[in-house]
Amino acid sequence: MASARSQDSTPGAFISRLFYRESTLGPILLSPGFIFLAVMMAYPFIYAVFLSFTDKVTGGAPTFNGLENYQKLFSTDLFRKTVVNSVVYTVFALVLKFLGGLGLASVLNRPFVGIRYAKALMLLPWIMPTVFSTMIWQWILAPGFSVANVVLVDKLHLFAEPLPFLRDETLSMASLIGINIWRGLPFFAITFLAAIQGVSTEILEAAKIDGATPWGAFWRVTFPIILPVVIVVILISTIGTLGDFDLPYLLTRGGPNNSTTLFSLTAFTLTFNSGLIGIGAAVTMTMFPLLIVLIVSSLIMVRRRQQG
Amino acid sequence: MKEKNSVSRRKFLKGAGVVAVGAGATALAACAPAAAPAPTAAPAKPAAPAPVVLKGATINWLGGSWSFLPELDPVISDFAKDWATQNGVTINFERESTNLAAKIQTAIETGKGANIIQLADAPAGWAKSLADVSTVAEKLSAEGGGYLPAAPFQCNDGSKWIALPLGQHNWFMNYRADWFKEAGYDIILWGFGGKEFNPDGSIALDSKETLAALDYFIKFHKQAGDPEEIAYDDGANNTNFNQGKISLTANVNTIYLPAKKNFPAVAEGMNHAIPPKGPAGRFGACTLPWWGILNHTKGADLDAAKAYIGDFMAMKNLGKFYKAGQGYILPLLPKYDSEDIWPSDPKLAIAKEMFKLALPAGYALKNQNKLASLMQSKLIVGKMFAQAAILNDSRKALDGALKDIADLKLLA
Repeated sequence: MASARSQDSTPGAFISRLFYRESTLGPILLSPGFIFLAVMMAYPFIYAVFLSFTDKVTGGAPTFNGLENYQKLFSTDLFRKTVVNSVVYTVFALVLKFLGGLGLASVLNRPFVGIRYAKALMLLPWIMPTVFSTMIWQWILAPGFSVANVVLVDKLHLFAEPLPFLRDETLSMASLIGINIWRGLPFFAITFLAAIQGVSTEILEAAKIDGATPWGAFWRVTFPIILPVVIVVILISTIGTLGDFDLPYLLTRGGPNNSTTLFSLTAFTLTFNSGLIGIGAAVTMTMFPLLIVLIVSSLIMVRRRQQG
Repeated sequence: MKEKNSVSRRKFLKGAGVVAVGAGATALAACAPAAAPAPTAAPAKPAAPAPVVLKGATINWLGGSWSFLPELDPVISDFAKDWATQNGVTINFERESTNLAAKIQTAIETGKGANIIQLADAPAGWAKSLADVSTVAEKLSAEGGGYLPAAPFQCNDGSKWIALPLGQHNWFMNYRADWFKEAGYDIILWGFGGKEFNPDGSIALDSKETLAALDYFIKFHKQAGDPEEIAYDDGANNTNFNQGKISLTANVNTIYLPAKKNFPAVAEGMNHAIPPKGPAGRFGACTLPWWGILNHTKGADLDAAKAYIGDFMAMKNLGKFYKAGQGYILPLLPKYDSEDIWPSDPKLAIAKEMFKLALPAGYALKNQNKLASLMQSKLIVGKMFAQAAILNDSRKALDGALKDIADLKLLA
């Protein structure tokens, strides 16, 4: 049969052979996704790399200018602030989302009345569109009369004056981090919860018999087992947080005084508000070395963990 | 729906800051000789161009809607509808609210989409993509007695007209007359002699006049400003005035007109004034919404775009737009002085006094350049005043602004 098929030279038989062989079936199945990624992701990325080495401005032709854009960028206060803001935002948001997510997952791993409702409620910030949730936060933190200040000043009497959440540089960044945590925590918690629930109860019971405390069992048994999941979640969140655009754009527009501008927002404003397309592209490129280091080191850790 | 014009206006107010921020920043941005600027001489009437065939051409218009005064949109649309029918031209309107700049960039880079754009950002930032509209500008200028200086400053790059001003937003002092009678409150001081640029293009911001303006503003903010005023945008500014939280602010007529409907007591008690006189004179500040033609527009489409703008901006037609605005947007041609376009409401009569008084940011330059346009879009001056209030330190605020300008110079 196979021999007869391989000898058949009609187009139908040729196509059939392509789908029959594993060596050709794999590439065939991958090709739609590959083509989509190449057109929609790789081409814009490569074009952005090219633009970052040119003096491209709106309406002008790009001329290669080597590393000039990067040299200019690195000597501006705006870029220095962008890097510091992005690192502060990413580190604080990630650490707190990780700790909060782990804590929340541990709580949700224990049965209690209304756990289903608790899980559903917990997911709300994550599933709510960012534009909508950011509008709500704007009302909560608005200058002057706002929910947050009414609670803090009038109800709880914790402060004598309303806090300038979106006016003060430090408070603005803190607000941004807080909202990012609020929005991202459910993703951490639900993923950690799924990983924790995948840990074999036999292993945990064995640890208990060997005298492990709940705390010791968690850190010495559960956590090492879920570590690959933790690394992947942190990796995904790092990429999203470092490149976050919608939240700072909608909440603060990078202000006050550039105190909440992040890589994507700086690139956007330089490109679209100032027409400096080459410089804007260079800003986006500066994110990549950091992301590549993070991705490669995370993947190495996961692989070592799996091999170990 | 928000629109680019209002965003820019909001940006301006936010940057220039409401109440004293507005006073200080606007004074700094618009310090000018005390005398009202004279109109530029009306150029000679251009020779009649050869007749052009417009039939079959297409115009794609891209800009924001006039969300603060929605009555203005139909004035534009209705004229376009009639004009398109009469001339056999297709006109498509696209009103974009949030991402206008990105849409315009896309049209420019792809060479497709919009032909005519409406913006309030400085045209100098888009100069490479705008067609020469000098013939239209000169015709309109001649008809109206010569454009006021703000128009060529912003819309002419020194050799040609790259945009056509639709008008100017002027910043009246909105105040509660009934409160002022009670409190005897002094009007804010404008005009300390500071400015952004010297006529030769060098930065003039680092001066004792600037520091004096900032020091004044810090003092004013402490004594009389709403603690949150420097974070105000148009919304907060309007809302807080109408809720009786503040009694003085800089704005067009978009506090008063809604107040007449929704807060009659506020409308009854408030009034408008021209900016008060400062040590360096009396100054007004304005921003100019404009229309431009993207330079990928060619042939009959270009002819149609020019003809359409020229006809819409002719005095008899644009006058309807100004009248509908009731002082929201003011003309830039002196002959409107005697036209029936001015608000009939006595509390908006100030508009007629204001329209020849105001100058745009960076006025000392002959024409607005790329750096000046970036400084305007990045709200450098407004941010400096806000920082002065936050830091309580004029020198630090000025140094911060100078650093920002140095960054912009380097990048641009």
